[in-house]
Amino acid sequence: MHHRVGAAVAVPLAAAVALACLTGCSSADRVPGGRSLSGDGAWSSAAAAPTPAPSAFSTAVPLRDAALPAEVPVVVAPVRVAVPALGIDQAVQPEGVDPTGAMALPADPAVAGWWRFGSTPSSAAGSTVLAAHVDAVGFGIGPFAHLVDVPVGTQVTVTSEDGTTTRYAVATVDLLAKTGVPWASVFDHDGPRRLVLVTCGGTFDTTTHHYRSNLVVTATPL
Amino acid sequence: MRKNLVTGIGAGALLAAFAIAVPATAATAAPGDATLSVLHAVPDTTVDVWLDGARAIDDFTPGTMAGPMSVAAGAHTLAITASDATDDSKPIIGPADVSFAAGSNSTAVAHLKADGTPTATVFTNDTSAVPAGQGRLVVRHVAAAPAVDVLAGGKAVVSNLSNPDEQALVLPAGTVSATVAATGTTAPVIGPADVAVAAGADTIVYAWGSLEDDNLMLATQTISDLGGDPNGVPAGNAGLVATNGTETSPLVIGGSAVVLAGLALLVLRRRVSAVRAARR
Repeated sequence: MHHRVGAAVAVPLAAAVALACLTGCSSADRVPGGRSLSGDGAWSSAAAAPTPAPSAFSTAVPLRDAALPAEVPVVVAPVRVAVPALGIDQAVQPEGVDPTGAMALPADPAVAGWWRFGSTPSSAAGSTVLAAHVDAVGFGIGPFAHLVDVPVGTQVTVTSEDGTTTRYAVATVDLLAKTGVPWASVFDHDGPRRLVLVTCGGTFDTTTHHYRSNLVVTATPL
Repeated sequence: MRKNLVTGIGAGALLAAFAIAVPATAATAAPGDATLSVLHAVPDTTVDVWLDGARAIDDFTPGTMAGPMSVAAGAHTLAITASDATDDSKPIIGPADVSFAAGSNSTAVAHLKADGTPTATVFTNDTSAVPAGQGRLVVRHVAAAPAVDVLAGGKAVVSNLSNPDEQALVLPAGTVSATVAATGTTAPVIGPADVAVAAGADTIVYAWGSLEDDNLMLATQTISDLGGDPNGVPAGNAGLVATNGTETSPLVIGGSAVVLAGLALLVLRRRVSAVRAARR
């Protein structure tokens, strides 16, 4: 959907003149003086306007180069996660979405999944989410079962595919009813850099064969 | 509901006619701000942008995106002047009356029409949620060029897109290698270029510049936090570490212990029989 705003220049000649003028107006010809947005960007009270006076531009408008980046940022996937104090040291593989819209996980609890549409340890912001089954039929109890009582401050190390390691310290451990997990926060793209380890825990629903809670462990970079 | 708002008349009686579609919900929407970004996509021309008579963006250079910023919902006047203008009385583009619904997200683009004359278009950005692991790729044609196709993987994913239209597709997040070609052809006028489509975000790609002047290029804008997250993490299905009551958890754990013991016995027996068989 778009709305035409329309051109003021309807006559080609006028356009040519306008452009010639513009190209002649180099930055050196700028009108000097403090035309900061906070200065004259303030609204002259729009008394006659039928709509509320705009509140915008009270602060400087952020500007950025909109050019398409020459290269797509390289994604350096995590490949291993270790919590030495708990005896956890397991492989990590990229995972996406399962058919129900949930995060897909490796069947084997001894392998963790990394949410491949989210951040990595080398990302400037957001959560790197690693999740593993706490247990699985045919495999038994997995290493992430040890996370249930991990002390705050415990060190977690994530190794990435380029060999770099990133160290974190456990900051929060929460057992949350699955109906109340703030997934947007767990999978956050923009907030502070952090590691989020997810597994299941709490009571088990023998009818659905699912745990009723998720264990969410957040760790901050050291 | 589609509504024509006030038509602004620029200096020299140049006509600035436009139509703004006001969503049907606008009338009942709660008061609030709208989000606005501004893209400068007229080549070789530094300008100032004026909103409601006040200079909003000073010395705005081509290829630059301003914003996002919040503006009060409702009607505004937008004008674009030379960068040395002292007011908006002699606009290059506009003045144009624009209207933003509360909570809406728009991008105003100063650009060239297909015939190369300057104009401006306000696009309303689709900020509806996308499915988990997917992103929305939006392609906008704001270049002095005929209709184009956008090709990815050898086939047209966007067809017959004309200035100043847009087409959108929701696709699994990842990198799309895209080329822009005149409609019905495959010879690139832009690209191939790699575009990263992020999950839970709009990735908006603008084709701008002028085919005749050989300066067609791409600009991008990203709007995040549009969902795209999984709806859960089902991370356990055996109940072996369940904390619920005596009736389930001990039974399950006890049961599995019995099963494990049974398996061990079975293995032992097989080994024994294998040994016996070998001896025979």
